[in-house]
Amino acid sequence: MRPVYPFSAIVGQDEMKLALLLVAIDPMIGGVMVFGDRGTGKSTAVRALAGLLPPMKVVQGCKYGCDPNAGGALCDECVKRHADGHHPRAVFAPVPVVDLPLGATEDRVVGALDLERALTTGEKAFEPGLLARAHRGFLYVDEVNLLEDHLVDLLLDAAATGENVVEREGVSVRHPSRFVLVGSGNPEEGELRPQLLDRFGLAVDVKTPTVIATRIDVIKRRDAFDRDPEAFLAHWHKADAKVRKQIEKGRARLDGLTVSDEVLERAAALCSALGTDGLRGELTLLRTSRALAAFDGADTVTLEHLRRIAAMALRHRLRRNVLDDAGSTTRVERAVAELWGDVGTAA
Amino acid sequence: MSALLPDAAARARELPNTSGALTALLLAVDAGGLGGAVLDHPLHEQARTYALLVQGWLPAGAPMRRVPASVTADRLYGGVDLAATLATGKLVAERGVLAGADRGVLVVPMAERLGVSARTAICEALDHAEIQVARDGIGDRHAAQVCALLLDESVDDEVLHPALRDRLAFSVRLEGPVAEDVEAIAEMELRTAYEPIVQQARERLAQVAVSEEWVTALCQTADAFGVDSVRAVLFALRTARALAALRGNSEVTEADAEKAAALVLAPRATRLPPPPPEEPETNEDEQQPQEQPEEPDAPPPQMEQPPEPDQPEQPPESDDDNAQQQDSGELLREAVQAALPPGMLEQLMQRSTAGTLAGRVGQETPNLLRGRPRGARSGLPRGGARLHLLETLRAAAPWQKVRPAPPSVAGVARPRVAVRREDFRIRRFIEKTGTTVLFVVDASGSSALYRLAEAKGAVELLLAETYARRDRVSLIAFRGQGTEVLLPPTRALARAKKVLAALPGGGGTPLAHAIDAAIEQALGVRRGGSSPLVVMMTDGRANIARDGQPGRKQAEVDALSAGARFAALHIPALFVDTSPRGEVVARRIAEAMKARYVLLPSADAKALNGLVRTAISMAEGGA
Repeated sequence: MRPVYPFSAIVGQDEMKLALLLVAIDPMIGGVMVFGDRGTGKSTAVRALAGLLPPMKVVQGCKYGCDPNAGGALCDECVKRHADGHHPRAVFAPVPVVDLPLGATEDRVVGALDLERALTTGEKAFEPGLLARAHRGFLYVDEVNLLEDHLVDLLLDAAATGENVVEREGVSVRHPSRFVLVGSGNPEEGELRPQLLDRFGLAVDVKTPTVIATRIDVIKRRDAFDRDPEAFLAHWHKADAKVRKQIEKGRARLDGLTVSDEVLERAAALCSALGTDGLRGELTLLRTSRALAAFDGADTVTLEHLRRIAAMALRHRLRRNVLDDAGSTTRVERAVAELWGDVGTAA
Repeated sequence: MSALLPDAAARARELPNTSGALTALLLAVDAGGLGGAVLDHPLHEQARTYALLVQGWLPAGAPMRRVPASVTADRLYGGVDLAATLATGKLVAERGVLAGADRGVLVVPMAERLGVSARTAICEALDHAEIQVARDGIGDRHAAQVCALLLDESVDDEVLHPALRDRLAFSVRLEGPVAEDVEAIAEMELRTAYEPIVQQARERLAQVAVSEEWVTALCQTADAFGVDSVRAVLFALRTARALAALRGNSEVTEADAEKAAALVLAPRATRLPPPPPEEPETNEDEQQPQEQPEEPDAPPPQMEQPPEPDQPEQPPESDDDNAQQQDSGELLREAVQAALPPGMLEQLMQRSTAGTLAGRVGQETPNLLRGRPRGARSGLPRGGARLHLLETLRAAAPWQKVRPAPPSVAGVARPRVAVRREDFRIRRFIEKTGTTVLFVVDASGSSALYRLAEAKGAVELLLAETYARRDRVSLIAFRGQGTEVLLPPTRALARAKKVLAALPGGGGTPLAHAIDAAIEQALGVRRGGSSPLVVMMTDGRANIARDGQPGRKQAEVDALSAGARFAALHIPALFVDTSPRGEVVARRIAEAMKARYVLLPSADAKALNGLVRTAISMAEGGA
């Protein structure tokens, strides 16, 4: 097992790092879509963040990793345990990061009848799928654009409802399945359907750093990590712990933060100026700016917070404009500048 | 082991100087760090020799596994041994190929045909040196550090998937001196002579130091040649280290860095570096040098105190000695340029902004998984095929009386149904194929630019609107003496835009040629499991015959006969006549092709797009 690269040692890629931190604070923001070339450290960042999160409490012996304090959201088996008056122990487990292999079949994703047991013992048992394993963690899908439509729909439905319902082959199972979907894609290798993109909360672009000095730094750190992972991890341990604290504090502050009417109106105006349909864009703007305020330790959500996350919350929701070749990021920034005066564009 | 001939030992003190045997040595020194190699169209015998070399130099007992490109993911990952499970009544796992190749070599011929799930499995092993098997009751992690040797045997428009290429350090073309070198070293004497050298290098590897200068130079060189992937630079760095270790040094030298850059970066170049500036620039605007404490006990750069999270990332210190940097970078650039594979230099010079990923990658998933369900057939539920439980039990039912009861196993309830291999039924699906719209555009004469602009607009609109992701678009232009595929079938708008950005025009009209090219493409699309729809856009004034001679009469005759051939293949087509009042000849050719003739003298992209959409739905409905 190769060790996990520390999150705080990732050079640059600030937008991706921020997006992941914000969804870790408020998973309700929805998934993150990462556009970028090969070898830019997309999956490294996801893994690193999960490695940094505090371990979670799970019901001992639960196949689905249920949260002992979840109240309503329990799998059938845990509900039954409760009904029978059992109080299983809670144990700690690391936050899961599950890779969805491209060739995965529906069975593997949602789970299926355990055929071997059905055939050898005649028992109807359910074999949980990847959605069960990703519960309360991250589901990483490389090259989302190459995934089959029906699978993508499945994932997005589960991500949106927070549970997985299986009705097939004579088994009927439902279990909680709350996860942050992180998709990666290379825009050059097939487009993503607009309705699919729209269901991701945030979208970020990652690029190979153009500044040579940054590139050198990336290589040096990566090389130091490869050669002596333990020393490297020890060295970054403190910085990672700091980020972990920030996430925990942010989570604790989140519920106490309200968004003023002024910020609400600004968000709505921005969406209508950009012509993004539906409420998803606005909702995402609000949740994300609130998560950012919580992460910053601010008392109120300000216009500045909104401005900092506007591009990542909206860039993938713009209608493609054949006449306007400007990238979507540019278009969002332009709209922000026009609406709110030029308060400097986000770096 | 035979006693070494003295001259073999002496020869082995020199490292081989061609990329063939040298890369094999390097892979054996740092298999875990270098991933493996793409073998570029080798003879199978050569590939075998190369693989045996690597395996022979790896630590004793290194396995070698060879799998066909049609390998399924469950063979790679391992899964349930169905026959054994049924026979024993207990779950029997079988170890997959990747776990079986741990610390050894994996060879895949025709790797460009690897299916998507098999490719993912191999990438997983290369990324993590282990694979995760997600099945209840089966051990979920296996070590799988493989040195992958992928044979790239692609023809026409196939390519080895870039995700695989990116994860392998080397690309080796075994021909001429390179092949001879491999042959020579594969001789028993010499191969054995290298064994202790490789072994010592492996032990030394961890102690080899690389100075800042070479890290910097490799990064600059990668940037200069447009190599974006971080993996590539890391591979170059590790290669330099392995080279130093093989030479018995504890420090990477200039020669090591040059060789590493030539081996790893040259095959990945996507552009040529700009000529060196007249005066050395200090890159002031790119990096602000940060004063570096010149204390002897200053921590190494990667160990600098991590920045406070609320502070912006500080730029790393740049080397004070800028001139020195420039020099090292320059040296490596020359080395890379000299090592560019033949033909590549030319290619890079000509290369426009077109995307680098061309052609069709891998095969689509077999129709066992997708599309509309359609009954069941005999077969085993593996390779992604899904069991049809009801049909399986139905097949087993009539035999229950005559079959002996399955063995009962201690602790496991006796199965109630005796199911045998031959009873298994798997689900079948009908796959709905997408449509590939082939625009064949007349780029000759005066209205060429205008026509191309329309076609370009239509292509973009089509792709932008393609909600059903199954549809693809391609673009062929014809003019002067021949035709040119400007855009191979794609779904990617981004890529199409890049390619369409620069389209030239002018010349004569070789209509027969264009129809021939459309036929060829359409048949290719059909082979790929998609339905073609051809959209011809021309004013129909054919004036170049098949033999390339100008002449209206012969050109028309040729175009009509090409059209007849087109019609015989039942390729659905739309013939858009762009002439001002309609051309009789155009209409006749359209009839010969059995294409729908549309007169659209001032078509805008929107109208064209609407037409094509209608044609697609008609073609799909009528197919």
